[in-house]
Amino acid sequence: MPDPAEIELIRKCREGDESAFRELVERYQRRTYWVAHNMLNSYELAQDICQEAFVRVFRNLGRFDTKKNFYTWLYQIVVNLCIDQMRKLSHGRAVDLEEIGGLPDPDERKDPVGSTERADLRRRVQRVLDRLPLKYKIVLTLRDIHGFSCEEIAEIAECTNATVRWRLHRARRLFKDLWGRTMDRSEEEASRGQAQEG
Amino acid sequence: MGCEEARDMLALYVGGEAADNDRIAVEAHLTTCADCRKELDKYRETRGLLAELREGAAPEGTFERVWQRVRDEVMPHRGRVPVADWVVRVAAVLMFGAGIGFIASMTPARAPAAPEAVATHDEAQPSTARGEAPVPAVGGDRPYRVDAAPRWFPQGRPSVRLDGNYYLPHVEAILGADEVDF
Repeated sequence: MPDPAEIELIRKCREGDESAFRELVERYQRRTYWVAHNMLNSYELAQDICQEAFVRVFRNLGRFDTKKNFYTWLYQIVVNLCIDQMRKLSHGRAVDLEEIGGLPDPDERKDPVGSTERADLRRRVQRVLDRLPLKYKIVLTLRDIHGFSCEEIAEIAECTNATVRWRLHRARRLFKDLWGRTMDRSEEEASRGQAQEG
Repeated sequence: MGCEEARDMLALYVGGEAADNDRIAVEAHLTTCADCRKELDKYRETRGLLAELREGAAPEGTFERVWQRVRDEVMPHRGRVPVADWVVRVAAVLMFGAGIGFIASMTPARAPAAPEAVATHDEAQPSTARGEAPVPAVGGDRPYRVDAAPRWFPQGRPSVRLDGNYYLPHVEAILGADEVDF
C-alpha cells in the first residue's frame, strides 16, 4: 500500500519542487546504492547506477502510477540498469572485465572499510555471490541481503511469485554449496601452509 | 517426509517462504534427523553471511556526489544564476540609480534655511551658522532631541514642527503664496 506522505512528496516533485525531490533521493539513495553495489561489486559503478536511477525517476515521475509502491518501481529501474551494465561488461570487449564478479574486485584495493576481519569476510561473501548466475544473484540480493518480500521481488524482477520462489530455492542451494567449497579450499590452503612451515 | 524431500525444502524453509503444510512437515522431520538439522544450520549461516553485505562503508562523499550530479542533470539552472542574468540584474540597478540621480538633478534648489524658519519653537536650540542641527549637551536636562529642519527640506517659509524629527511645510512653501487659492 503506497505511503500517503510519499504520494504527497511525489506530487511536489512533479511540480518541480527541488527540496521534495532531494528528500525522495535521500530516503532511498543508500539502499539503491548498496543494491547496485551487491549486483556489480564496484563502488564507482554503484554510484553511477544510483545517479542514473534517480535521473530516470525524476524524468518519468509524470508517468508513475501512484497506486503502486514507489520503491518497487525505483528498484525495478535499479535492477534493470544493473542488468544492462553487467551485460555490457560481459560482452563489450572495450570494458574491463575485472569490474564484474568471478574476478578480483578492483575496489578491494581501495575499500574504505580497510582490511578488518569483517571487511575481509564481506569480500569473500561478495566474491561467492558474484559467481552466481545473474537471475539468482538478483533474488538473493533483494531477498537475503535487502529483505524484500517475494511479492516485491516479483514486481521488481517482473516475474511471477512462483518464479521468485523457485529462483530463491536454487540460489540458496548454489550459494551454500559454493560457500562450503570456498571454506574447504581455504582450510586446505591453511593446513598446507602450516605443513610447509613445520 | 524423508531426508531428500526435507533437504529440498530447507532452502525455502530457512527464509520463511515454505508453504504452511511443507513447513509443518519439515519441522516434524527435523525433530528426528540430526543430519538435516546440520544442513539447516548451514543454510542459516550462509543467510547470515549474506546479510553482512546489506550496508558497508561507501567511499567518503558518495551520497553528496550522487545528489549533486542528479541535481545538475535534472535541474541544471536551479541555484546557479547564468552570467546573462547577472548582467541584466546589474544593469537594472545602475539604471535605477541613474534615474534617481536624474530626478534629483531636475529638482530646483531652494534658498538656504532662514534661522527663524527652523527654530521658532520655544524649546528649539538656535541652529548653527551652517544650518546644521545642534547637538544637545550630554547629560543635559533636555528630555528629547530638537533638530533643526534638514537642509533639503523646503525652507524660506515658516515650517510647522510636529515633534523633534518631523516637519510639515506650510502649503505656501511648496506652491507659492499666489498659487494658493482655497
